[in-house]
Order: sequence, then C-alpha cells, then structure tokens
Amino acid sequence: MNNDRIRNFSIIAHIDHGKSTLADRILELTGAVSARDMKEQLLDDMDLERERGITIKAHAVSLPWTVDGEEYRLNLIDTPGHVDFSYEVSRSLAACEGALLVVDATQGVEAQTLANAYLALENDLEIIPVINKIDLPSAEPERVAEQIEQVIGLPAEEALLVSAKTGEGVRELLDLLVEKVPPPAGDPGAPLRALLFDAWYDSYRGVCCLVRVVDGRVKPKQAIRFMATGASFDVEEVGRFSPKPEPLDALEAGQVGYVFATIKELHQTRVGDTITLDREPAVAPLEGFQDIKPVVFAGLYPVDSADYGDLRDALDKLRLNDASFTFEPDTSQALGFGFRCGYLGLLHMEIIQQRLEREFNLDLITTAPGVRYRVITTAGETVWVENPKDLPGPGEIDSIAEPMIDATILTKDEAVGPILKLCEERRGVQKRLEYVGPQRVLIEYRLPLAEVVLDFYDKLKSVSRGYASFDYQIAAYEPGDLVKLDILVNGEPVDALSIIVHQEKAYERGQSVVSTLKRVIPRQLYEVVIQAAVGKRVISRAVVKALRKNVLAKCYGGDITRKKKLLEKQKAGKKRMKKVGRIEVPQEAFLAVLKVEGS
Amino acid sequence: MVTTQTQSMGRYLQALEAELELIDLEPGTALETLYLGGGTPSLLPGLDFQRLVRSITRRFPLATGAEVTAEANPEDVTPERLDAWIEAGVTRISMGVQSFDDAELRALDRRHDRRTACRAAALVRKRSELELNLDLMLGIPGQDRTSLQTSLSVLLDLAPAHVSVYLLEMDKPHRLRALKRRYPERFAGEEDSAGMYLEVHEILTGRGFEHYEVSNFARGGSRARHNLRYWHCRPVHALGVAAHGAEGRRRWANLENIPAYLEAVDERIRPLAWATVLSSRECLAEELLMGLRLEEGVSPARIAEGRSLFPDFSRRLDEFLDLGLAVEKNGRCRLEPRGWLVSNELFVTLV
Repeated sequence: MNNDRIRNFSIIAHIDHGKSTLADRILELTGAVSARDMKEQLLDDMDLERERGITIKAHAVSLPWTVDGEEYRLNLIDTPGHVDFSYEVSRSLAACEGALLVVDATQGVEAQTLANAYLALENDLEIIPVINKIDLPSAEPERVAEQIEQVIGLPAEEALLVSAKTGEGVRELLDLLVEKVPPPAGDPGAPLRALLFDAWYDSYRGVCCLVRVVDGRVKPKQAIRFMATGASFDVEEVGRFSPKPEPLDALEAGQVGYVFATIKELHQTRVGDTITLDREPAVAPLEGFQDIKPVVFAGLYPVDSADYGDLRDALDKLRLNDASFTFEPDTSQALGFGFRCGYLGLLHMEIIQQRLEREFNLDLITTAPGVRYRVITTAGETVWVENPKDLPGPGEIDSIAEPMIDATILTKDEAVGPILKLCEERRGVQKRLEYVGPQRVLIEYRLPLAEVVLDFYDKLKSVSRGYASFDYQIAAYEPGDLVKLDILVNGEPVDALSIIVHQEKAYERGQSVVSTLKRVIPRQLYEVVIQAAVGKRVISRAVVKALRKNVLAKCYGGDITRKKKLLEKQKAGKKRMKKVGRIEVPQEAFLAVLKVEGS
Repeated sequence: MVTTQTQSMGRYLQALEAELELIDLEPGTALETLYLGGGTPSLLPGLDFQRLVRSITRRFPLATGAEVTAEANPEDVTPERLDAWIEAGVTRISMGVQSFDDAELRALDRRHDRRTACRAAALVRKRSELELNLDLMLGIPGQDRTSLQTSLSVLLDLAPAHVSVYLLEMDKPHRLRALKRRYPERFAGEEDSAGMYLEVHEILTGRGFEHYEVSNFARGGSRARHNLRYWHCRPVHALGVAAHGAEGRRRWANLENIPAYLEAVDERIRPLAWATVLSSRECLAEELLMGLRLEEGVSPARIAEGRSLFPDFSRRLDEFLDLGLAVEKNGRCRLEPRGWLVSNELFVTLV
C-alpha cells in the first residue's frame, strides 16, 4: 500500500477522560472487532490496568478505513496513560504523525492533557482536539473548547465533539483524521531505521517489538541490530495487529507493526532504540533515545524471611514483562534479606508491589521510598546513593545533590492557596502561576523529587478536594543542604529506618519518626530508648517504659487451654516483630515511618 | 462442676450423677481432693448438695484427710447451709468477695455488699471444721491504693487461711471491656495494677502468708491442695458442662452447650467436646509453665530439659535472670513476684 494511504496516530488524554472507550469505538467502527466480540476496553489487557483505568502497556492496531471510496490504513498506537511513563509516551508519539487529544467535556483540560499535548507538539504531531463525553448532562463543550484554546493554544473551532460511549461523532472524527494527519514520510530505499517504541515478553514467542519503520524495510530472516545497545538478532516474523497478529512479507518505511526476532529477554531491548540492518547499518540512529533509569527507590522485604526465594523468583518473572524496574539484593539488620528496587515513579512502584502481592501471593514490607542522590566526596569522587545506609560519613561529604522535578498542576482557583502552601512546605520554587480560564489556574513548580515521593499526591488531593491534576517531568540535579537522619533503638542505629532529609526538616522529621515509633513499639522487658540523630547529635528522644504486667491471673483446669490460646496469639504477634539487639520492633514501625508526615 | 438456673437444677444434678458412671476413672478410686465449684454450688439446697456429694463419694470414696472445697457466694452463706456442707464433708469454703468496697462491688455487678461478705466470712470462721479462702480482685474500675488497703485490712481482720488475688483480666468477653472502652480513666493502668499487686504481696507476706503461686497466698500450710494438682500436672477428673480433665498426657473437656451435654449423658455417651494427647514436648512446656508460676519453682533437671528443647525459652530465661525477674537457687529456678507480673513474656516461648 502506498504511504499516502497510511495514517499513524495516537490517542492522548488525561486519566479517565475516555481514551480507552474511544479506542474501543474506533475498533468497532472500522470492523476490526465486532460489537458482539467487543470485550470492554480491549486494549487494556491486564486486570490491574482495567482496575485502575490506566493503560500501562502500549499496543498498536492497524485498521482499515474508507473515505470517498478510497481505502486507508489507520495505525492506532496506544500510549501509556501515566506520568511515570512519559518517556514511553513520547516514544510512542514519535512513531506517529498525528494525535487525538481527548478532553472530557465535564472536566476540561487537566495536567496530563497539557503534558501530553506538549509531548505531541515536541514530536511535531498534527493534534486534533476531541471533546468527549458530550452525552453527559453536565458536559460543557464550549467552556472546554475555550480552555483548549487558552491553555494549550489549539484553535477552539477545530475541536470535534464526540461521545465515545454512544459512538456519536466518531465516524466524522476518523474522516477528519484522514484529512488532517499527514501521511508518513521516509525513504524506503535508505538503510533501515525503525523506532522501537514498545516491547513486551510473550511466553511462547519471546520478545515482541513494536516498531515504526522510518526508512528502509525489514523482513524475516534478516539480521537486525539495536543501535544503542549494539545487540544483534535474527528476524523471525514481521506483521501487524488488526488486532489479531497478521504476518506480512515486510514492514516498510511509514508502516507500524511488530517484529519477532531471536530476542529472549525483555531487558535486551530499550524503548526508543533504533533498529537497523546488521549488514547495511544506518549512519545515525533516530533522535530522542534515552536510557531511562529508575528515579524512585525502595526496599522490599518478605514479611516471612522464608519467602525470600519466592520474592526473588517473582521479581525475575515481573522483569520479563517490565524491564524498566530494577532490583538488587539488599540486607538490612532489621528486615533481613530483601531487595532494593528502582521504579520509574510512585505509581510504577505501587503497581509492581500490588502485582507481587496479588499475583504471587507475597506478604511484603516496603521501606520508605527515596531517590538517588549524587554525592561529591571530599576526595572529589562522585558517588550515587540510593540507599541512605550507603551515604558516606559526614566528614567525607563535600556536597550532596538531589533530583528535581518540574511539576505542573491545574486546579480550581479556590485551591490555589493551600496548593502553594503545600509546594512551599516541600521546598518548591514557583515557576509560573497563571489563570487559564475562568476559575482555572495553572501552577508550575520546581520541587525536589524526594519531597514528592512520600505523600505529595495524597496531600495535593486532599488540599484541593480532588480538583487538582498533577504531572511532572524530571529536571536537573541541584545541590541541597541534605543530611542523614539515623534512628537508634537503645543506641543501635536501625539501618532500615534511616532517611536522607533536608537539614531544615531534620528536627521535625526526627521528632515525628520518634513519636510514631514510641506509639507502635510495645512495652517489653527492657526499657526502649528511641533516638533520632544527625551524625552524633541527638535531635529527638523518647522512651518506651519497661513492661510491668503481662500475666495470666487464673490458671486452673479449663483456664489452661484458654490461656494457652492467648499465649499462642501473643506469640503470633511476636512473629511479626524484628529484633534489634534485644528489642523487638514490630513491622508496623517500619511502615509507619513511610507514612510519616513529610512536611 | 457447673450448676445452672434453679428450675433445671434437678435435671442437671441427675445428669451429673449419670456422668459419674461414664468418666474414665476406676470405681473405688479414692479422692484426695474434691472441688465443688465453677458456678455457684452454694445455690443448691442443703439436701441436694449432700445428695450430690454422697453420689460422688459412693463411687469414689474420699481418702483420709481429703480436702473438699465448696465455692460459695457470700449471700448464700447461712448457718443452715454451713451445717449441711459440713455434714456433707466439706472442709474448705472458697468465697469470691472480690472487694470490701461497696462502689467497687457495684462496678463488678456483685449481688453482695461489704456487710454481707463480712458476715458470711465470720460465719465460716466460727466453724473450726472449715478453712476459709477469700478471693480479691485487683484493677476494679474505681479501685485505688487507698481502697485496696482498706479491703486488705478488712480481709486480714477476718483472718482467712488462704487468699487468692486476681488481676482483672479482659480476655473474656465481659461487660467490663465495654466499660473500659468508654471510661478508660476509671481503670487502673498497667503501672498502677502492677504496683497494687506488689503491694498486696508486701502486706500479705508481712502478715505471715506465703505467696506460693502467682495469685495465691496461704497461711499455716493451708495451700489449696486441689489447685496444686493442676499446677503439679497431677490427674484431675471433672463432671459437668465445660468441665476439663487431665491425666498423664491426656487432656479433655466436656461440651459447653447445656442441652447437648444433657442429651449426651442421657444417651450414656461421654459428653466430650474434645480430647487430646499432649506430646512429651507439650507436657514439658506445661510443666515448666505451671511450675514457674509456683514459688517452689522448677527442678534443675526440668529447667535443663526445657532449655535444650526450647532455645527461645532458654534465651528469655537468661534475660529474666539478668533482670532479677527470676532467681536460681541450688539449681531450682523460680520467678520473683515482679517476674510473675510479666511471666507471659517467658511463657510465650513455650507455646
């Protein structure tokens, strides 16, 4: 098929604005899936995705569409729908020429609408604004169209009104898409350059790569090479999803489809990498590749140390499907053997943890999430520290730098005050504050990532009563006045409770952790002294007095059986304790520190 | 043994007599102790009480010098009943007075007051055939050191041979639990309860009582011989609803549901809820747990066995010794009263 007849596009939207429903309608309308076979939201095939309404794995579907008797092929490239995966989104968009920007007619422009629109603009895409959910009584399409113009700068009159739910306006939308989105360019005669924009592990066939061929063509039996990693593989099959896999003789410049090669493991691929031919390589790779690294780190420990092996197996299995999270063995004096895991963001972390608990039936303790610090030692060396316990001693540190983010928040004007207060408390620096429509305010802040990872989302949600939407991008590292806060139990530092914290907040944070621990550590035979310290300086202290009473008063005949059960219950409680010296610290204590007020 | 409402008492007494023939004890075996209690046998009319004891002793005669204890509510004690009990062979009356403070007794929903309790105790003390035990409770809502001292001095004036002092326990569903949720301030805290317990220890041992078990004090050798059988893991057979028995490594319990119990006995089936045989490890654990609740403590051989079989126990016992909560003397190991107060921290290593 001639490239003039191909349209490559994505649907981008804020969460819950109807992206998946629209994709379903398009699949139905193009006849790719019959309405009868339609499984709700076909593109989201993981339970967890459906449950959270978030698309985690991107897919690409090739669909036939006829306009004025001319046959076209629409390649719909689905994008992940969350801030943690913005790099993957940007690579998916790089495979397209156009994007449908879906905005909920009842909600209006949100932070992710904006972030996604920016990503689309950066990739030079033709953006078609789509106002969705016009069937709802509370829909305000005019107001939303105005916002699209004011906030994003897209002409309001071009916005299309649709209801993905009823199908109203979807046919017109596809016709407009054919008209406005340019066909793919590219040189079929040039050496192969294909953008890898998604990959996943298929237990039967190995790794499936989704690619957009930019130049040249790729065929089975060719040897291909990933330009960033340098790894080479033999192509076994190429084709497209419609939505069932449909093998083709070749994928050519302009086309989107899948490539199965002799790739056995997902981490052998990098999203954004350029595929070329091993024999006849391209001179330069496509632009925009980044080696994405985790930004949020947390320890994962089995509640029952006997589950360590199971946890390792589960992590191995998950990594088959998600090469973007990392894990390495870690030990903690308090929590035993476990792993230090790296994630692309907080949501990513939550998803992985839930999958571990749900799919693998594991009981886990998670330590407080943290970020990767860049430490310059007095000897002039750079040390990357993800785990507070690895921080060099205070005398060896010249400076510590921490990762910053650029946050975008869109909210109702009445929530602006509390949101600014929250951002200031979290050491934020205001970049922009602007009315973008009646009662709608755009706020931009530069914030330390470490201040966001703990509970920023929750706080933002509560101070804005749910009216603020949030998105962020990783920005630069900036030096900060950071110190390590140690928690000591009867003089012994508990590594799993250490945190790196801003000097100004050390006192407050230390007090908060100490009082939480005092609350959750039960009285025991020994007095328990809990201290928070920076270096040698103790900044907070509390005492859990020694236990005075834990006794069975009566122990006759029938009591004995009953009391034994009571003791068994007490014993079960102690099983969930970790020993620090002679002191038993409940696992709850480690979790409680996670919930410590971050302010 | 348990009794129930007066209407069904006759039926229940019949069942007890019938169960006598079902229990796993050779007829003719002499009883060293007999305990009528768990419930309120003092409610029984004198003749019924005598008949019940006669039925028991007809099948299992009392050994010479046997201890026969009856539990009694203060309000049930009358000269006539005392006559009947003595005639039936009772040697010891155990009376749950709980407190001599009327406000505290009301908080516990007791039907008696201080006057009734004093009069009942005095009546028992007049009978030279009877030993008297009085139960006191610690941690009653509203109780403080002053009211405890008053109760103790009233108690000491009544000169019982035996005193049981129980710390209020909240592990059973209890009206007090709801009360504690609503008015936590009216309940003694851990610190105060522990303080009161140690104070009782001081006062009673100062008046010649030996504190021979966690909750029990005796004067002049008047220990509760029946209860010692539990603590020394000696055989105990039991009749009635929810009654528990033990012999050797066997443990069993009767049904808790009265109709089910009656039905089983009617059909001449043992009314068992469960029966089990302890492993030798469980037996040792029980022996250690019971033994360490006694002032006499546990023999060196048993402690050594326990240490090797239960490493956590061994470590924790060392901590108890370290903290002076336990002492070792001539190899025998025992807990101090302060150790008894936190003894579950040790016993939890044995389950």
